[in-house]
Amino acid sequence: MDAGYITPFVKSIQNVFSTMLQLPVTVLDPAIKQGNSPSHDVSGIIGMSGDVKGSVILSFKLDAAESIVALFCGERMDPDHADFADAIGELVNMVCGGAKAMFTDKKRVSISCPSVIVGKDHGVCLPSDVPCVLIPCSTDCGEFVIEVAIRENAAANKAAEQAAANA
Amino acid sequence: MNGVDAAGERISVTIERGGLSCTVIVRSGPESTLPTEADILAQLEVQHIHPSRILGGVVADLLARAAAEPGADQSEVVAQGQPAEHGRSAEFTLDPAIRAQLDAIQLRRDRLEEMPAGKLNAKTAGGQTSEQDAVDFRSQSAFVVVQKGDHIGQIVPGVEGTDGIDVRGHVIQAKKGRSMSVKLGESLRAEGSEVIAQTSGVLRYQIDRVEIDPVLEIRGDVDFETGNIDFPGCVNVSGGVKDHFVVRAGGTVTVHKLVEAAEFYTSSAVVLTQGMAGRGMGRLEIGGDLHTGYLDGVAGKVSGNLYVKREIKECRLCVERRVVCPDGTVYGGQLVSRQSVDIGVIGGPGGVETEVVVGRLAEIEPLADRISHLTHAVQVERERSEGELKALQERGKKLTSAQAERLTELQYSQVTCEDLVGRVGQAAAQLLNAAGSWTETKLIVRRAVYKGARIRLRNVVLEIRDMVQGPILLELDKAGSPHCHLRGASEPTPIGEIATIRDTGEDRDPIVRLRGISPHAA
Amino acid sequence: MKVMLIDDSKTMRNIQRSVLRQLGIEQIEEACDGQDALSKVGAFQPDLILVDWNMPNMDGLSFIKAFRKQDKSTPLIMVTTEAEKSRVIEAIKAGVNNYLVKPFTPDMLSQRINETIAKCSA
Repeated sequence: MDAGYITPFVKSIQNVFSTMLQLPVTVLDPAIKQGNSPSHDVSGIIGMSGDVKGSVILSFKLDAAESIVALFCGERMDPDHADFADAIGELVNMVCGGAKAMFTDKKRVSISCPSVIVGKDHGVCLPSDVPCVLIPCSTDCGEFVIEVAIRENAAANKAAEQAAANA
Repeated sequence: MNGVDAAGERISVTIERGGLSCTVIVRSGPESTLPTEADILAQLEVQHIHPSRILGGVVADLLARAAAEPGADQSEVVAQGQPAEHGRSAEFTLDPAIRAQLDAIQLRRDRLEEMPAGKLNAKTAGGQTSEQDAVDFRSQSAFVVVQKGDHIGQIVPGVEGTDGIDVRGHVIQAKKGRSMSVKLGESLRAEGSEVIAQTSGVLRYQIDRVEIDPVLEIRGDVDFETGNIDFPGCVNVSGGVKDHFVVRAGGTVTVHKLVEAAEFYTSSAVVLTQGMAGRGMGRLEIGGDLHTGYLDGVAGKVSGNLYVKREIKECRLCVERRVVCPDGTVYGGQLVSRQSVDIGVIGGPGGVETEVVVGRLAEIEPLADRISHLTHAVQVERERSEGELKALQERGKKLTSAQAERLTELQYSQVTCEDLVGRVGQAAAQLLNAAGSWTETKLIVRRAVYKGARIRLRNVVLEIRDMVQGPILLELDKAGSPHCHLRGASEPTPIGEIATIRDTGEDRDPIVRLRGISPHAA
Repeated sequence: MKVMLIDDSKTMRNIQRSVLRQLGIEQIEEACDGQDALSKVGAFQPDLILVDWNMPNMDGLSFIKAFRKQDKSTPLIMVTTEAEKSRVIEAIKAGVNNYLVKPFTPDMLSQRINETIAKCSA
């Protein structure tokens, strides 16, 4: 995966957390994720399509997710509450939206509505042909990771090149 | 050992190699007196040769040769023992790179001893002793410093050994291998046969013990004996630090005697029990607090608080937090504190130029500049696009497609400008909040401030005209205006009575400027 | 003053609602997507609409296009993560009056609401 796709996520996560939660995020060294092993207990997932396709997962330890949702919503919430998942979904939505706006070369990318999984030891299966970059993050509320498994859509790029050539 | 048979005195038995080999010689003589195999075996039995050690068929071959050549002696090894395999003790071998460092240290020590004292004390460039013999004793370390996780060495396991047996069937005891004689300290762990550092520190390697000390203890001075210090943990120096030596440390550094014109670069606190006579060449970059008796001719930065007992003389220091020196004097040079200064005396009766700066926000100033410029640029663009937009909108519905396109662009520009103004205002507010926690902008002078002293409270510059008796409290209010309270008076004294205001600094005060930009500033 | 909030995230609607309350706006209607909003907007008659872009069933852009066919004057602010210039232009062409990119602080949202109301009533 092009490293140019990682920096936007790092910048975006810091922007979202500092603006919406006033919570500074320390981003640690990214690494390639091995297998589909679960990272944490609560995962917000968003799909990307268009010039770039793949998935982005924001995965929190349960206590970190509880504290972060409490900061975001202004009240502590049970993880089973529907609004808990809603808040996690909105966070991953803002992170991805912010990141895709920073992609270079005016890529046209759409993001899906977020899905949220709450539960210990859940795994998220990603396409095996796309490497997943794991970006560990640390905050005063606890730890979480961003998993970015995206790649340029070759078919879309070819079509764009063709269109440019025809033009 | 020899034996001869009674029958014909023609058999001789010899035991050799410490009982591991038995040879029979059949001497020459007439065929009628040739011994039989039974005679030879009987003679071997007399010599207590164990039957299990006798080699099969060898005696018969020997007798056949003797019969074939009656005129010649015939000999043959007829029995063999099994030698013992001695064991080997387990041993510890150092990592080759560490071994090389230790060898280099030993070489350095030998050369240092050979070096005439006068040559060492000469302050040649880079600490080299001479041009011909260019050994930089300052930069060479006298210690092996290791980091947590480093490979330190290897344990070569011992071998127990196997007993042997001699031709008489007696056991030959093998020497047993012993367990490792070198003890590994708790700071090391064995991963299989590899030995790994559990902590960062200085490697202590003795004949019977290997360990890592997280504290570097220097008994004596930091000088040519020790070289420059570069250590990840705490350093404790019982002596002083000599001219031009450099101390770098990740932990707290304590020096019990005088520090000369040396350099300190640390991530944590530094305690200089006596003080530092830098003579204009001393350099400090301290990551934590600095506690010292005095400082003279030192420049640098202290990230924590500065605690001084007696004097700060001719120094140029920037202190990120507070300066606490209520019984001491700041004399000459420049002392900058981001937060507050509590000092006994500023300057001296001779009118020496002494500058004390409180609440300086050097890092904020360029940020405030950028925010101001950005705000201005956005406002200009916003007004320009607003004017053009209005003009286009007033045309009503008679817009060409190009004008309609331009209208959209202008609307986009408006939206973007508004977004930027909001975000820049937010950044200004955040910066103000942070600045509020960094600066108190408060100066307390306990005893006196003398003529020649220059005091800067953020961007307000005051020059003291005549000696003023303390205690004096000088501080800035929220609007950035200076206030003075003399000798505990509750009512403020007008600044003009004690000092000339050289610069009000209002237009450049970053705090005041940021307040103007941030619509939500407190 | 009546404000309609259109966002599929209840958390986001709650945040916007609390900002509106701080501005003294109490008459607030919520919709969870474009379709829901179209079904409520006629009865509620809002003075201002805050609308997200990415929503299930009917997205914000489709809502704006449909809404502008029947109402050309009610101020619309798009509050979305879509920050690319092409998207903002698309929204302006569809008829939004202002645009706020998520994430935002309460101050930024209230500032944008005030600006939009002031501009549209001028």
